[in-house]
Formats: sequence, structure tokens, C-alpha cells
Amino acid sequence: MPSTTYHASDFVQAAERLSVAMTVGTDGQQALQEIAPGSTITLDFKDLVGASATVEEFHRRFPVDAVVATDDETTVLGATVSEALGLAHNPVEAVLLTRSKLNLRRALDDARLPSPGYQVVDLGSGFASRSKKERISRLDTAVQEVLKSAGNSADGISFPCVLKPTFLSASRGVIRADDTDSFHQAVLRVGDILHEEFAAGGGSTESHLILVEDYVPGVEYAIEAIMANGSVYPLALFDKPDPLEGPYFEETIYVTPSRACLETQREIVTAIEKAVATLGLREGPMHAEVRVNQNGVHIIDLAARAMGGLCPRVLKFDNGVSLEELILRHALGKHCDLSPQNHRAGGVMMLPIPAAGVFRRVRGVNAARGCQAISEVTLTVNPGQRVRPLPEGNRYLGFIFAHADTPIEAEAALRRAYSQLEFEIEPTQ
Amino acid sequence: MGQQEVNLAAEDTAVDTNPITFTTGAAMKVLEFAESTEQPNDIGLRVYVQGGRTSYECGFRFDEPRENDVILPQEGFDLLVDGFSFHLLRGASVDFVDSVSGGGFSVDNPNEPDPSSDPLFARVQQFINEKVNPGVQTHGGHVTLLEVKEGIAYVELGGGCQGCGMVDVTLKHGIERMLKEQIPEIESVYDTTDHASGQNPYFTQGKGGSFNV
Repeated sequence: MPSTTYHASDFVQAAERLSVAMTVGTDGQQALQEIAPGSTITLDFKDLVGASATVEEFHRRFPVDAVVATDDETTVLGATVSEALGLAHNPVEAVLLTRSKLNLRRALDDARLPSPGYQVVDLGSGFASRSKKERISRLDTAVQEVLKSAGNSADGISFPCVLKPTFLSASRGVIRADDTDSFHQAVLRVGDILHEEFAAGGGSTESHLILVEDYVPGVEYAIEAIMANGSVYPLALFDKPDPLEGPYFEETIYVTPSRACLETQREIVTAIEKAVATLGLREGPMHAEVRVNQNGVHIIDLAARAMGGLCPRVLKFDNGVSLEELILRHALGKHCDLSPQNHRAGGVMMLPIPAAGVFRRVRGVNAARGCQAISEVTLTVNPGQRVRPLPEGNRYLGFIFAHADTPIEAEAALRRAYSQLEFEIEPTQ
Repeated sequence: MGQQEVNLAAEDTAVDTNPITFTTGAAMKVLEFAESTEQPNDIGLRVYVQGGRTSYECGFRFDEPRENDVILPQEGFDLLVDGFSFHLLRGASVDFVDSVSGGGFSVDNPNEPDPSSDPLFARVQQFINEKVNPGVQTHGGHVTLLEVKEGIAYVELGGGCQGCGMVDVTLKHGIERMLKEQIPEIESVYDTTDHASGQNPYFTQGKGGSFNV
């Protein structure tokens, strides 16, 4: 798991409940690694060969029975290490397809599965590391070339469209453009995000690409599932009651079970099953986002990991089992009931960041916690930390969880609790 | 945080009616500070134990009430105390002592500890001093042992550990695992830290997503 993960506590707790000895592999050395051998291991996520060799060496001293990747940054390494150790795993090439939105698009398109039409803006090799002057020049040139073909051919872009980096998560850098002006502005902004990510030590071999997708109108859903031996076992289908129409695509509320009609739910599951088969995924958690309209189910994104942030806490399975426990049990080959769950309605709200600045405090947490059906209010930003809204932002202020008899009640509880919160963010110059 | 529930506050409030008192001078000083820092009318004053076994040092700050707080009405404001601090401060009296440098709150606490009276505490303390703290200090953190009771070591984490996204890895995979190995009388470690107030966590949570192949 990356050292910036939201999942550390919940996986630690899940391992404890299962009495499983867990070693945490992270990209930042843990404070007590030297004096607690076997408890943590430091891995360079960008060096798959080296990191895999490190785990193999570790495995000789501390035998490993399963490898679980918790976040996007670790799914490919998890598959690589599992392959090296002979453990059940997703094929590395399948996971690689999910780690690039461009490769995912191509794979689904090749299989003629409904997904948005797309173009690629290539800013040229080394773009993210260039000087600002060079970057702006390349961005302007790329925009001119793309717009030349706009509407002039079947291959040209059409408006509205959605621009996105190919490798970032959680709607970072995802911007809708409705015309040439907003397209130009969006390209400049995504270009800055690509550069910033590179400068921060992140980035990708696709840091010079911007994916431009057709905007797909429709209703958006998220699906959480476990894959076992290539079969998909849906665990929850989430409604996203706040419309995601842009210009930025901030996730807020997820509510399950879905209020979509059964036919739509079946179509979503069928589309996901086809996508998983096309990609070649086989084992472990899966999270996907789809849009449904009169033309069918369009796969917007699909990842070989569990849902992000603290969102998995919204799911409680029989006997209070958490999603993390389910994932660990599956990875270890222990029995787990993957049949559809009959749990209560649940909702989670990812608290949006309203403005850029320094987070100072939040008022009303106690009142929010006291709202009927609210099960948890957790802040994930500390006082004094800088925050930014999307499309640049990479954090959530926190999460609200609700459990109720019906999805309508769960959603209403989330909105009620959110209305109690007042965030104080000091603007920065 | 994955730890067993303790509800010391609920147990103790049934016994005492006025367990922590502020002198009139101290209460007036609190109201003065609240006004000068433009605190909302409904804000409370939180008092919490932040020191170790040699002395229960107290911290004060304006805050909202939280779940499981003990709320003690004083003259003009509510005193907010978390369950664990309440346990250690029951019967304490708080005064404000003026001095040329501005003065400060002074706590007269009848529960001040006597480290020499508890050999198990001393062993855990030694382990934390010699093994744990040198490690967490590399991340700007520190661990304070507050109490050892019925096989549970109560600790408070500070500095880079307070609010750190990987704190449970440090706590469960480091401190608890090592303590249980070295001192079999210890069954678990309970974290009393107010992580939401951490000012400088070493690892902060974020969406990430970068990846190289």
C-alpha cells in the first residue's frame, strides 16, 4: 500500500480480526521497520523488477501466502509479485490495461464493448519535465492540431468531451469541455497537472498524453465486486445521486443498494462481466464506474482494487465482516460467502473540498454525528494542511457514513449531516 | 481504531458530581481568552492529559464537544474532557497563575503518578524509551506511556505520529507486536491520541494514482 493510502487502518484491523500475520509493503520506510523485522517492508513501486526481487527475498525469510494490492499504485506490483511467488493472481498484462485509461479504452473498444469514443492528445515525449515556456508552446500546438480536425472527420473530437490524464485516480485532472475555448483552457490545466505530478515525483510513462473522451450523458453507477477464478461476484451496486455533468467530476455520495430497476442492474453486471473477461482479470477486488443511457451500459473506469478512500466502510457483510476482511479471506483461499449480500441500505459521502487554502477547522461535527442514521463522521485532513478542490486536488476532507432501512433514508441522512458541517479554509495567496 | 472499547468516562461520572474544578480566576481567564480569540459562543474548553507517568501534564484548547466526551459546566463555559483524561484528572483543580511572562494554568491533580510503585509500568516505559521512541523519532514522532492497566498499555502519540495515515501500522505492527513479544503481560496497546488535531503528520492520506512502468 502506498504510504498515502486511506486503507491502512482498515486492513490492519481486518488482519487482526482474522488473526492473520500481515506485512505491510509501502513506498516509504515505516518508523519501526528496523526494530520490528517482518512487520513492514519498503518497496520502490516504480521499480517492478527490484520491488519484486525484494519481496522474493523477504519471502525466503518470512513465507508469504497471499499478496493484496490496496490502491491503484500497487495493483501491477501486486500481480507481479504474486506471479513470482506462484500465488493466485491477476495476469500482469491484464492489470496493466486497467492502470492506463487509454489502454482500457483501447481494450474495450477492440472488443466492441460500449465505452466512450476517444482521441489522444500527444504532447510529445518528456513533456512533463520541460520548462513552462516549452510546455505552453507544446500545449498550444497540440490544441491547434486537434481542433483543426474537430468536427471535420469521423476521427475528430466532438463537443462536449472530457479530458483526463491517463493514469490518475479519483477524477483528478478530469475536465469537461463544451467548445474550443473551454477545450483550450482544459488542455492547459491538464498539462499543468501532468507537470505538477511529475515534479512531485509521480507521473507515468504516459505523462505526455491527454485522453479526450466523448462525454457520455446518462446516469452513473459504481459497482464493487470480488473476482474469483475469472468470475465476477458483485458485492454492491451504488447509485450516485448527485449528477456528474462537469466541468469537474467530484464524487460525493454513493448509496447502496441501487434504486435502478432490476433490468438495468442486470445489464450493468453483464457489462462488467464482459469487460473483466476482455481484460483478462481473474482474482481479487474490482471497482468500476459505469454510465447508463438509452444506448446501454458504458464502462467509464475499471480497476483491480477496492473502492477508494474510506468508502469500503459503508459495506458491512454478514456478521459485521468488512470488505477488507472479505478481500483478505479470498486472497488467502479461506472460505468466504460471495453470494449477493442482504445488508441494510448504506451511504457514504466523500466530503468535497470547497476552496483552496489551509484547512483550519470544521464546526458541527458533533451535530453531524448526532443526525439520525449517521454511523460515522471521520475527517481525513488535519488542521494546517493545504487543500485544493478538483481538478487539481488529491484529497478528501473526510467521509460521512449512514446506514438506514432504505437508500432514500441513507441519502437524506448524509445530506442532513453534511449541512451541519462548516469548514474553515484560509485562502492562500 | 481497532482497539477495544473503554468507557472510563461513563463509569466515573456516575460517582462524582464536580470532578474537575476551575477557580474563579482561571474561569475568568478562559472567558478572556475566548473573547480575545473570537471563539463562538458555544465553544468549550478541552483539557487533556498529554504527559507521561512521571507527571500528568495537561493541555488546553478551545474545541467542540465530541462523542464520549465528559462535559463539565463551569462558570460561563463547558469543560470538555475525553474519557481517558477524565480518568486521570478526576478531583483536579485548575487555577491560573500570573507571572511576568504572562502566566499559565496550574493543575493540582491528586492522581499524580508514582512511577516506582508499578514495576510493569516501568518495564514498558523502558521499552518505549529505548526501542520505540528512537524509531518513531526518525519520523518526528514520539510515544508517551500514560498507564498500564489490566494488560493494556495506554499510550499517546505525538509529533509526526499524531494524525499520521500509517499510525495503525506503527501501533499494531510495531509497538504492540514488539511489546507483546518482549513483555508477555501486555495483551494490547490502546491509543488515546486525538489524531484529528495532529498538526504535522508524517504520512498524509491522498488519492495518489501515479504509476510508472
